[in-house]
Formats: sequence, structure tokens, C-alpha cells
Amino acid sequence: MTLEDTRDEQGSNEDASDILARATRELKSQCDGRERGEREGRGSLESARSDSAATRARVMMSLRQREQRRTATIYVLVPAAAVLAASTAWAAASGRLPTVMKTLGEKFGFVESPSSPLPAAPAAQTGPRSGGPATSQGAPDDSEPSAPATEPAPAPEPAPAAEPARPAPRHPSPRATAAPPFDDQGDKLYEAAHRAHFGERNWAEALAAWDRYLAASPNGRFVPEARYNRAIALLRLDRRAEAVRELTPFADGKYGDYRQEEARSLIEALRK
Amino acid sequence: MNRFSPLPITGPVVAKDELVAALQRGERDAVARAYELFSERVRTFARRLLHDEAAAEDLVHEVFVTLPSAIRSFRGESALSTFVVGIAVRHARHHVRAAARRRTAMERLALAPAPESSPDAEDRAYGEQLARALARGMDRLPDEQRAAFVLCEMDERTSAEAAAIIGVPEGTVRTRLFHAKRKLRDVLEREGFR
Repeated sequence: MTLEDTRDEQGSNEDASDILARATRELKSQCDGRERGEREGRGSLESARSDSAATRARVMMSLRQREQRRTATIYVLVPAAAVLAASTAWAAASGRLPTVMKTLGEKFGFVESPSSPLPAAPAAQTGPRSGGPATSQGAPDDSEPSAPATEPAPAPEPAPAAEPARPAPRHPSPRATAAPPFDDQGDKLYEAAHRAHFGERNWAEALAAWDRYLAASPNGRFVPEARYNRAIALLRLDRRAEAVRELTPFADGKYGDYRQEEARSLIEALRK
Repeated sequence: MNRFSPLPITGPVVAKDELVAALQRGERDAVARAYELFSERVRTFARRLLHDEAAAEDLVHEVFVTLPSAIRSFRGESALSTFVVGIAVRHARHHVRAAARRRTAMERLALAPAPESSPDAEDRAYGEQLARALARGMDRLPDEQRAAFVLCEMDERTSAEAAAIIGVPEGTVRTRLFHAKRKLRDVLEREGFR
């Protein structure tokens, strides 16, 4: 069909004999006439406009209700968003954000609920541990299992097992099972401390390094390991009283059963 | 005053711009003002499109409730009245269905008045039957063809005006109109009107 055809088609509408043209006129007059008839039947122009006024009132009421709904939404959503933002910022600052994200992910099924901890969480390892230095990609080794028996120990510390073969605690502490927060600076400090402690065996430097890590990441993911290793460094430096103070929370179960037995044995040996 | 004469905006052009700006800000008073200006135009179109008073009022209501959000897409390329009728065209779909269903139900219940016996009355009855047949035919048209038919044939707008309202090229309106009229003629002829 061409445009000319359609124009012809439109033009043919003017033909009075066209049944469609007549039907259109009839329908139009019915639509318009019904309106007029209704108005005449009501007897006054004011009542004739009642439909329009009623619709106008409906429009204004709908707009008002919509505005109220929007306002209510704002009153609910804005505080909720503020709480969310604040709690997210707090979680990020305190290093708990990944834990929260992981929990939420598990809750809503975005990530699998792990029965085994994340590989990046060193404290959650259940196999034998390596005493080697940590790498930046993998998790750094967590802690010195106990005061090594092969070293010339400054204190009469018990050595329950050889360092590399020591198994992890049967029930890792809650902190140890938590998802690892991503704390680059803390991880680097931990790695340096680990190197000084296990690699160089420079106890004074190791103690200072553990302190630096704990100061930088007071809520970091390796705090229990760092505290325990700090206690061992104190022991190596023959600062027994401080070592006992540092080991006491472990013996008391502050970190669950993580290093609890070793801490108790060490404290007992130190007090003899 | 002709129902489709230019907008009765008596103030300067700025007044219209102010109205648009106020509508875009979602001010209810602006909607009320727009209702005063354009509701009759929308209502007439709605009645002709739907052939149903209640459905027409529902459509008018919907047009002005959605006007504050719809006006955000108004760029001033057409008259505001054209834009408002365009909203009616876009929101007419389910009202058309509702009106058609109601009409079918009414016809089934035979609620149409009994024909009278005088020659004038016979002519009037014939006209009413013709109009009802056309309304039934329009109920079977696709929405876009129905809108084109109402705008061009019942509202007597040019295809350019209809194109501006619907938001399609003029040629598209003509094509839709052509198909609409052909189908409606077929319907009328099948029902015995020649």
C-alpha cells in the first residue's frame, strides 16, 4: 500500500454514501450526545459538571495518597540506609565487614556455607602446620606452636611436640573460624613479625614486630596467633612474668581452646 | 468554542512553561490547573475511544494522576494538550479491554432499549444499530489502529496531529488508519450494513 492509497482512503471518508462514514457519525453523535443528554437530564450546568468534578477530586486524592506513600517510604528507607551505611563503615573499620558479608552470603545462598574454613584463614587449618615464613598470597603461618624444645630455652618451658608436626586445635577458636578480613597492612606486619620470629629467630625484633602488628590491627584476623607468639618471644627473652601475663588469657580460654593446653603447660612450668 | 480549538491559555507563553515546570516538580496545584485546561479534551477523546462513560472517567483520572511523572519526558516539541492526549492514548489499553467486556456483557443481557415504531424512530434505531456495530468492530481492532481511527475520523484531526499525539511518523498513522477502516468496513458489511 502506498501513501497515496491511504490518502485516497481518507478522502473516501467524505463520501456520504460510505457506510463507515455514516457509522462513524452515528457513533460520534452518540458519544457526544450521550454526554449532552446526561447534562440536560440533570437540569443544570452545575450538576452536568459533577462527573468532571468527581474525577478531579479522585485525581487530587490519588496524588495526595501517592505523596503520602512516597513520604512514608522516605521516612523508612532513609534511616534504614543511614543505619546500613553506618554499620557497614563500622564493620569495615573494625575489620568485621568480610565476616558480615560472608554471613549474609551464606544466609542468602550467594556463597556456599563452608563446613571447612576458608583456605586463607590460617588459624582454621586442620592439618600440620608449616613453620616457614608466610607469603603475601597465602595466609601467613599463624603462630609458633610452642616454645621449641631444640632451642636453648631460657626458661624451663615444656615442649609438647615438634614445631612443624604440631596439629591444629581440635576446635579452633571463634576468631580462627571467622572469615579473614582483608587487611593488607596488617598482613604485611604479620609477615614481617613471622619472619623475624621463625626465620631469623631474632626474639627482640620479633617481639617488637608482634607489637607493631597488634597496634596496627587490634582486631585483625591473626591477633590470637600474634599474642601467643608474642608470649613465646617474651619467654625467649626471659621476661617470664610478662610471658605468663600474655599466656594467661589463652590458658583461661579467652580464645576458646586455641593454644589453651600449651599455655597452661607453659605457665605451670614457668611457675615451678 | 470548538472542542479542539487551541489551548485556552490566556497568559503569556511563559505561563505554559511555568505550568510544565511546576508539573515536573510534582506540584499538585499544577495538576489541578492542567485538569482545568485539558480534562474536557481528554474526556471527549476517551468517550469516543471507549464508548463508555465510566471507563472514560477512569482514563481521565489515570491521565492526570500519571501526568507529573509523564511530564518529565515532555520536551516542548508539541503542544501540552497534544502531550496530554498522548498520555491518554498510551494508557487506554486496559480501559479499552474493560469497556469492551462491559459492552459485550450488556449486549448479552439485552439491555438495549426496544426499537420504536415511527419512521423517525426507525431511522434513529438504524443509526444506533450502526453505531453499535461500529463500536463492536472497533473493539476488535488493535489498540494502535483504534487510536488512529478515533483521532483521525472521530476527533477529525489531521494525520500530522495524530502522529504528534501517538508519537509515531505520520505515514504510520495513515497506514494504521487505512487498515482500521478496511477492517471496520468488513465488519459492517458482514453485519448486513451496506
